[in-house]
Amino acid sequence: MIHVEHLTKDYRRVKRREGLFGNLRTLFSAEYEPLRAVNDLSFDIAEGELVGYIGPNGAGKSTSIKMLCGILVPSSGRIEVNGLVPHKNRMANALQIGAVFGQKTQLWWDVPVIESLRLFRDIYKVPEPVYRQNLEMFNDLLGLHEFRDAPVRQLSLGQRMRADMAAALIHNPHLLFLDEPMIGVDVVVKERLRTFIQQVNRERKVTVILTTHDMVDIEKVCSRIMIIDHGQIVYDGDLERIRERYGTTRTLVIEFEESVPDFDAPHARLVKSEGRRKWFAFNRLETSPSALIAHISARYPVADLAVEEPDIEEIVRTVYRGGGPQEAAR
Amino acid sequence: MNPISLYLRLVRIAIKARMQYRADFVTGILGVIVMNVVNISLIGILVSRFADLNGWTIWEVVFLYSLWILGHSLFSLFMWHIRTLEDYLVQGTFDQFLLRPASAFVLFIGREVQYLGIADFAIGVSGMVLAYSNLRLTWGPVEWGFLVLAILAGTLIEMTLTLMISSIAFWTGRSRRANSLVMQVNVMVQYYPVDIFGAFFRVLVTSVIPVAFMNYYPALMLLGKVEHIGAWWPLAYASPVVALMMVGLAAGVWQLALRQYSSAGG
Repeated sequence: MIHVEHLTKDYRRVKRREGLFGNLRTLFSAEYEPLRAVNDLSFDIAEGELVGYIGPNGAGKSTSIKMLCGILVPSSGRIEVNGLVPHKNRMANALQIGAVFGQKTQLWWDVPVIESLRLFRDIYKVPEPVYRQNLEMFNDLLGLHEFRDAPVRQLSLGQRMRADMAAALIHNPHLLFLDEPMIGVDVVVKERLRTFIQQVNRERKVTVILTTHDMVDIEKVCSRIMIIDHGQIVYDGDLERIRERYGTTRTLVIEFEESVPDFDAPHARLVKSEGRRKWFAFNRLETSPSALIAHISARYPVADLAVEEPDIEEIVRTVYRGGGPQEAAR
Repeated sequence: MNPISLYLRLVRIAIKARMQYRADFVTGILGVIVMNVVNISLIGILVSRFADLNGWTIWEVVFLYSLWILGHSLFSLFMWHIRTLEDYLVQGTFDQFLLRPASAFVLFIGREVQYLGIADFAIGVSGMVLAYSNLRLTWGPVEWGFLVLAILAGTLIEMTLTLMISSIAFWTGRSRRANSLVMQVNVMVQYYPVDIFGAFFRVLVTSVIPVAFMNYYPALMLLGKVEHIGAWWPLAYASPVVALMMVGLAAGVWQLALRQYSSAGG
């Protein structure tokens, strides 16, 4: 569905000049600062996949999505989206994709939501029965009917995202790019959007690329995760594998029957101490929880214990920092 | 959707959006009318003091002013936001024009309307009517037809100029200063007949920034003052041609600008 090969994008950021003729001078003799936003990116996405595309701010996520949309032309490399080269067939590509950019709405600010949807219906030449059917689905799953006659400026952020989501899907695209659609949205709406994304992916076979900073989105929704940093893929695979590879650190939480002094156990490190509770971090490749528990309970009476799995956010933080499995274990 | 029906749809939506702010509408219109009446009265005082502005009477100056503002009114009604192109670029809202299976230009140009143009239009019509009767003009169909062409040419000239100047922002990020510079030249032409200025200014507003074709040259034809410019008389009829040339030029610049945008990246 998507084929990206050695994709690179260099920006030329202009150094601005001030003064009356500043922008004219810049026009004729501009100095540029080069900036590599995307660096030799390669990946393939199959039809029907739901991919979490994550990375820190400025990692190149939005830039690569804009290239997939045909808004930006790559500096080098190849892109194919469902057989089309986006920047060469911008309009044909536009018909087969939908996009939500969470930071800004694509709807008309001062007119009712439905007005924007009707316009998109006509721009994309959506047949009336398909349009009706889609509206019905948006009513059911997004509660569109609750705010479809209100102008966008009066909508809450959650409503606006739902409206934008509807607008991106009104023409039954094969592909959906979601660039931070959850930003600033409350938990209830988030849950609703997640369910909606999954449903659209499952029932309509829409391939989805989802950019988010919320790891719960990834855990709940995505079947595959691609982590990008400094314009390059640093991880591509499923969630389980990333846990195995980077998430080797476990934490053993022990509640002792009485206060005990701080101590270290073999292959484990005391990370936190609070009242009668202590937290020990260990690498599961070096030692097992049972060995650790045996060692500790031999020294002090243990009242209760638990082993904590690393959460995905922590793992991703490790990957962002460029740390390999060793670093993650420390 | 073909570009024209898309444009009309967009304009209808933009008008609906504007109608949300009615109080704004009334005060805005009143403001423009007051401003223009003050402007034209000041010029009236100036002309009556000097009795003669290089052979232009006060009503001929009113005619010039009105012809300019009629062309300008269509521009300010439907295309004023071209001047704010840099904001679309800075805020990244320009992206959405490239996301649709439609012309980015039509999507941009249909994005906003500016009702203040209505006041400009009203001023232009009243000024024109006053000038016409005071100058005791008696036009035939040729003059009336040319008037319509000249107004549309004026709109197109201002639009294409603004579009090209604003497109500088695709390269430099900013275009506001360049725009206001051109606007200042443009306003000089609105107030005074070009032939009172020196050669440099006359060449400037005829060639580089051809705003003299918005009112001065067609007014020579419409007022029967073609002999004013001697051997250059064809210029008095040239506004529509100049407008078409400008459209071609601006279309080329726009294509370059879009290529720049997609390769340099907003």
